[in-house]
Amino acid sequence: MSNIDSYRRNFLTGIGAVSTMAAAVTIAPGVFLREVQAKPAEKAVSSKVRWGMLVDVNKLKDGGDACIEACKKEHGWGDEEHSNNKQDAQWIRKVTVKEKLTGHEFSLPVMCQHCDTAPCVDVCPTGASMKRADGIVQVNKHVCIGCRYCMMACPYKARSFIHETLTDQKPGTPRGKGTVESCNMCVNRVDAGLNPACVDAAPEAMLFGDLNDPESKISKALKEFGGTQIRADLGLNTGIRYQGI
Amino acid sequence: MFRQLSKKTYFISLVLFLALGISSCNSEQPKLMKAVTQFDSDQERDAHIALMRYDHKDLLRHKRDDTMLRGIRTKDNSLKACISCHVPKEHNGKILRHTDPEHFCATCHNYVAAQPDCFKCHVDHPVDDDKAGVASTLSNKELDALHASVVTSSDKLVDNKSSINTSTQEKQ
Amino acid sequence: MATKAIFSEVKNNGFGYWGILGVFGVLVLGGVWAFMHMEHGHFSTGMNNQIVWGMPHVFAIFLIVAASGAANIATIGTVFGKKIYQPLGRLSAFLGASLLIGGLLVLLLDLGSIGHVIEMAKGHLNFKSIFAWNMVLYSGFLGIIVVYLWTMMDRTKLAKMLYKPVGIANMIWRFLLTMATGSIFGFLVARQYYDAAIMAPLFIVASYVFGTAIYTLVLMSSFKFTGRELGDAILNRLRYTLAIFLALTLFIEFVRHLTNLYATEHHGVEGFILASGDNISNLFWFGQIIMGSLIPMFLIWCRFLKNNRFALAVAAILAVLGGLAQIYVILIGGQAYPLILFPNAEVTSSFSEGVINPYTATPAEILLGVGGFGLAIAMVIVAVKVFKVLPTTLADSATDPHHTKKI
Repeated sequence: MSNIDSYRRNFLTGIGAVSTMAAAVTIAPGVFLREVQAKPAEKAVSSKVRWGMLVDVNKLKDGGDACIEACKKEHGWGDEEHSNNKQDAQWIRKVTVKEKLTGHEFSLPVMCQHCDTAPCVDVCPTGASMKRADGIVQVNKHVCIGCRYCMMACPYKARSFIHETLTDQKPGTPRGKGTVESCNMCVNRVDAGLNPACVDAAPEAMLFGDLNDPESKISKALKEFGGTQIRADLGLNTGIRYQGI
Repeated sequence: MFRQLSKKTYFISLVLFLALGISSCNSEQPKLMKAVTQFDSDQERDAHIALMRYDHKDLLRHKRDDTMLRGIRTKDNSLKACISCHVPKEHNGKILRHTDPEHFCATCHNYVAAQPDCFKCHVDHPVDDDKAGVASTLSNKELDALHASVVTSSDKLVDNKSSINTSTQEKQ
Repeated sequence: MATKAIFSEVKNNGFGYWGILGVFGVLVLGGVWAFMHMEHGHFSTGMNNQIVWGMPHVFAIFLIVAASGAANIATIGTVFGKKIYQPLGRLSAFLGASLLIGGLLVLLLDLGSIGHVIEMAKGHLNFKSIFAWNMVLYSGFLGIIVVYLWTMMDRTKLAKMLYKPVGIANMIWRFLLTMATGSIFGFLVARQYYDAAIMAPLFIVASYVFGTAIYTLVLMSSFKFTGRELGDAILNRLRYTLAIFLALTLFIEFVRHLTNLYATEHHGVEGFILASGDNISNLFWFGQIIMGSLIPMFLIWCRFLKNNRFALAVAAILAVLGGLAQIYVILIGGQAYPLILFPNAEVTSSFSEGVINPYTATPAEILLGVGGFGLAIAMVIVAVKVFKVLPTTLADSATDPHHTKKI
């Protein structure tokens, strides 16, 4: 890393720390409670909850690199032995956007957007591509035949196909040859009352919570400041919202 | 086209086929590896064995749907729990895999020549939790404080502007 | 059945018959090898997370679409009462069924988890999915074909009574089947090249081209090898059917591209397909349009080539190759063009954002596809020997009642 880079990094970290402290001071002590409560293990998920995520792109220090690392570590994708780099799984990726007219440039993490009316769920012949009652879109690999129609249908290119036999998967994230996979909003962590891994990897820029609960932090933030959907024109009512894009 | 086979030929081949089946029933039952943790009473153990010996595949199928579709994650629903009890962390100094004949599931499944599909996706041996996923270095309290900042400061236009600049710089 | 055509099994038993069967058998073996090779995982293929459907799917879709067109010859005889087509019905139905089986097998063998297909039988079917509908439509098509063949081949009263109703059912079913196959691409909102309902009619007319071309080739070669007489009356019907549907396909392609060009958001992808100078646009112009459509139409309609069988055979072969090119352009071209997440912006990422995705099919993928084609034809070769599929003669005097008057 060059000196200039390290200078920038220190400078940025400084900004981040200052704004964080300022924010922390303004919040009442009661707010520190974990917002994501673990549901009892024997209880089924309900449609009263709709999980969602808010990403403030302007506050992401690294355009999402930390999120990507955390996701890889949590779910174990990305270094498949035989697959070439176009065949490797990619649950979440950093997309850099430069507007042609203005030259305005920003980077953001793009993953499964957890659509309300998900095209991948519609096209899946077996129902393997599914949306849970709480809005999490995931692949039920037990019935996935590996036809890849969902990959054709996804407007966000969020899905990957596993091109080879895998061993030593993470216990919380079963993955295997010949099935399709994608970001599952860390369903294993969410059910255990934790935030998705990426959200905790970029806590200063990302927020996870219940979009159906008007009192949740994410709902309040979205109500007050708004949030953009990628390709909102498709009317998919995504669970992932962005600020600053 | 095929010539008409005589009834005699049919009968003889049927008898031969059945004899083949009976002959394979003669060998010894496979010896299963002992579970890592044992039940408190023999009664409990016997009940578990009686249930699982015949119904484990239906239970696995039923419970996988419960977990997958409805998010039910009790210990009874957990394949991880089955594995952590039935498969030792190490066997003779090596990780025991479903391709090894000593692996609890493989012992019987090899015997009946039925391949379980589970381990195409699920890990076949117990994995320590701290190796399993992300262990955040920050405490919950620190994380929450940071998350809270996402809400509060995005209303400030000045803040936004400065971070737009920073995010472009960060590109290099 | 209304005609008095006499059908007989193929009597050839020598090197000719078994040799030809052997050639297609080798193709099938090649497909089997390819399947074993790909079973280790799709990493050994040219397909990846950007080009998710590759060469096997080009062949599979081509064969399935061609199946419907091949069965169309029987429909013309049954539903529209054209007597001249009725002796052609049995071969048409057999060819339709075998092409469909060949195509479906390729599709099935390319799946990532073939074992999980059994889950669908246990009720895991999502009827919002066009794929799920296709499963029903494809198996239903095979069922109807079996009944249809029975009505054509049995002499009982019941069979004769059912001949026409089953023929109509077959026609409607085929219509739905081809439409549903086209609709696989018709309703993908995400892809710039696919979200147009015109895909359904395009696939219907294209199916007549592919099916008629393959049928013509099978009919000509089977009659040649068995020494049966094949008159110009029949061949000219097939010839002009082929040409008319070639023209129709060309017209619908024209309309499709024109509509796309009207919408600004599609300019990018249309530019890529039509004018990029890339493999895809070359294949479109030289493969599909010139070689696959214009030259065959010329070969058929050129006055100097009237009744020229060699020209017809070449036209049919070109139409088949052009059809493969057409499916390739739609399938691979549509995926090669990047998805647009942010319009009017340059986008980059580690996941091939904003770039044209290259694709090169590996030999295994091609062999798998060709294997499906080989299986379809091998099945027909066996069928004509086992069943009374081929008419003993299709000489003009036998097929065309007005034959003598014309001269």
